[in-house]
Amino acid sequence: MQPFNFHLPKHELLLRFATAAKILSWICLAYYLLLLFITVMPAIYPIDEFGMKPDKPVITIKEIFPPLKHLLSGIVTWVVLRSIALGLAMIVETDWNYRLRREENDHAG
Amino acid sequence: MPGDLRAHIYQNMDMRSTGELVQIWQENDRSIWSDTAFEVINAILAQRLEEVPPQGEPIYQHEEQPQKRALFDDIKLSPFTDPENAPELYNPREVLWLQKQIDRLAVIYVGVTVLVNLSRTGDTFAITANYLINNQYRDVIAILITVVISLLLSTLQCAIGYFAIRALGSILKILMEMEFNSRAKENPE
Repeated sequence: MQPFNFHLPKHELLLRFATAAKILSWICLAYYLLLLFITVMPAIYPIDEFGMKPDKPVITIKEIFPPLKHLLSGIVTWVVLRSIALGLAMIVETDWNYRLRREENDHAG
Repeated sequence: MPGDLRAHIYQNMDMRSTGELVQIWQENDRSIWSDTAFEVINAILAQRLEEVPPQGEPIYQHEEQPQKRALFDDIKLSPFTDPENAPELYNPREVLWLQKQIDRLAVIYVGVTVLVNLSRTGDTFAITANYLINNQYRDVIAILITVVISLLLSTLQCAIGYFAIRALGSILKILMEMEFNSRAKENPE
């Protein structure tokens, strides 16, 4: 295979988007994990308005589920961006393959 | 023939330095060197040294070093993932792994969405009851409205999320099939 013969600027652009999506997926995951940490911390180590730690911290159901939502959002975003990166790479690969086949057919004909 | 082999090994071993032979002798790696080779080394070292050094425990098999594995290495080989016919820009195993995770994620998404909406029913009830402050059946009506709103909201959110995530998985699979069918090689099937 000689893929670089078929490497057009549009392929380059798509592959750049794919790389960007891959990098962004990790950044987004890190962001949501940070958000999760920020949301979970007050529930685990509650501090009242005087900066004192209450004797019996009460964690309600309402405090448990929003962090879960952040975690899920992070995973979903990671999966979506990762899929976009893979999808773009597959589109470029498909185009390469068709161009290669056409080239081979032209030579054979 | 065995004598020829021994003579040949002797010739080769004799060309090696004493230090090298001592190292081979002490490592005692039987998975690399034959018994005849060790007999020859013993004979050469006996000639070259006053005393042949003691041998280590024989090694018959090397333990395989655990290699760093990617998450998607467990995906079985198939025509799509055949390394002989692999694409250059992506790893088909990664696609199959991601698709598997997407299917799981869709189910988890539904579960988490239902739980989060359930945890918010208290707020919905409070808001609804606030609007019905002068009504004598305030609580009953507020509970009914809360149940309806929560059910509608959960169903809508679950449906949108579930189908969008599953669609993503299907799109990935279709794109991989399209790429596979576009390859110049004949399908192995």
